Amino acid sequence: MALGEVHLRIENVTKRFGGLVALKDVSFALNKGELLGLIGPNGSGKTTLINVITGIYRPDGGRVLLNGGEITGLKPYKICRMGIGRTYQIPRLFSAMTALDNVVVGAIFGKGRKADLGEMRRKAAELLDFVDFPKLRREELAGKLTLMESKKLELARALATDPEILLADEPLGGLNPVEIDEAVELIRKIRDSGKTVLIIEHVMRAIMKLAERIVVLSHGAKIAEGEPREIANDEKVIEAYLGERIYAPSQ
Amino acid sequence: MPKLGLAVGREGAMKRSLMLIALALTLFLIPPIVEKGYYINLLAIIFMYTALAQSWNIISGYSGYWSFGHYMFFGIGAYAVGILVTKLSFDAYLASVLGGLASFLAAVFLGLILLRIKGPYFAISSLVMAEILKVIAINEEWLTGGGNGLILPPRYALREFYYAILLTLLAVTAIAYAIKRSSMGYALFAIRDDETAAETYGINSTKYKILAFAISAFFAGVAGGCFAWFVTYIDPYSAFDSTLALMMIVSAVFGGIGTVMGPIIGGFVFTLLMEVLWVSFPYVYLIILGASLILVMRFIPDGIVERLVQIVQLMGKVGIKIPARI
Repeated sequence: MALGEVHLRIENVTKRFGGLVALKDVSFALNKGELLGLIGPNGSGKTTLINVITGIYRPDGGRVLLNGGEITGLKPYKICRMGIGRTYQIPRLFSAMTALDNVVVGAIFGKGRKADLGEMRRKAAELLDFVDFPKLRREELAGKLTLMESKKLELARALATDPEILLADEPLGGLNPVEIDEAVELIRKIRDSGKTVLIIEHVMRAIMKLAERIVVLSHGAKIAEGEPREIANDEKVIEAYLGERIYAPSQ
Repeated sequence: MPKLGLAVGREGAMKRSLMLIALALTLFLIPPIVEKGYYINLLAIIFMYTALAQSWNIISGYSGYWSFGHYMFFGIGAYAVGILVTKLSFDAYLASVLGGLASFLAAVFLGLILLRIKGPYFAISSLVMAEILKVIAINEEWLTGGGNGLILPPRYALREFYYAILLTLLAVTAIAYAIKRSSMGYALFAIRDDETAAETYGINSTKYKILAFAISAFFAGVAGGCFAWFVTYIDPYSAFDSTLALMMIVSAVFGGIGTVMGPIIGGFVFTLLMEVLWVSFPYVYLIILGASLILVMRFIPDGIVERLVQIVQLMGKVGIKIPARI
């Protein structure tokens, strides 16, 4: 598949929770090899959208297409094995397992799974190095890790499933400025390794620098889509979310 | 929380500790040759409770789905043997294995329904299911003999029961160990920690839960089947006895759930404690037992094994090396 082709297409997706419309007719495309930002105020439906894509929620309307094939409503484990990996906003690690074993789980059951446990362990160890997870903490229980370590572990575990597409739900949330810079570099590195990346983020300075294109959600509906500079100057986005004009660097 | 013991570098230690367990259990082949009567009977009952605790551990300890109704599989095994032996003249040994299979199949079917329910609701549902089966055993007289029960011909005696149940204990322990070291172990422990996350990382949780439930049920069924031909009489109240669930859960928790060693240590210590207390203080033994359980829950909630591991590690720090990792 060539660069620039549509990798994941969201088509008129609607999701209701009782009377609340969490997603309202949302459509956009994620292109092969791109780093797309998804922003919007709290409660605008960003995480709900990821949950729809990964099969945790079944949408009330619309379709999700991976490489042109429909994956709407498939079970989460099947979608994972088709090449969509994700991380959680609040890390959902297997807290009673060691850090390394968390990544091993992704390797054993994901898209690139093999029966050889030893090989999967080596792969997990390599991925922990790739995300720069401290070697001395590998055997620590995941429940005892710091936030930064947990975020890195979430990324390593998702990458262990061999995804073509990574959906990263606020990988920078709660980190300090130094850690944010490190995490931004890591996400770039992941994209450069050939993954298509969708990233949800609230840290505007980071997302404006990082994303090539941005989709904005507000109250469950898409209100804008475009390059960071266009988004930063979009009146609707400013009113709904940004509150003020922010500087977006020219590429 | 107890560590998984799955990670790199621990295999050697785990293998050694498994060999120690196997060796210790193999030594139990000897007693019936030199002794018969009370102590052999006591040991056999300890084996039975321990095997049941280990089987419970495979589903509940590993995946976190606490089956309060697990005695239903003991009952299904017991009745399968009762029916096969009395109505179809099967050999008791063969019938015990078929009793395990009956429990296995029942668990697959019931698991499809029950394992959709999570947490305390699963625990209660499994308990209710077991009670339903008891009522069926009471009412379907043509098959089960109803409240009168089934009388089996005395074919095999204490020594045969002793060996059969020891073999069951060895087998369920070996399987529990093998599962823990396999990808299935990773799946079950991931489900225990966070089932939704486990699904997101490629785990077909329904498949692994049902498989664990069924394997677990198989051994509980075999134990129930052996019990049936040993006591030569079963009725709904002894076959579907909720005290058994209590014994399984308490033994496993006492020793340390999710570890292979835990249910073994817990089963031995707890059954023995119960017997000693019953003999010494027949009127107040349940009070003492209850009080000691509360103390264990209060001070070592993750079980004896985890505490032993800590002691071993502490000894390692001050220079005393014991290589076993349980």
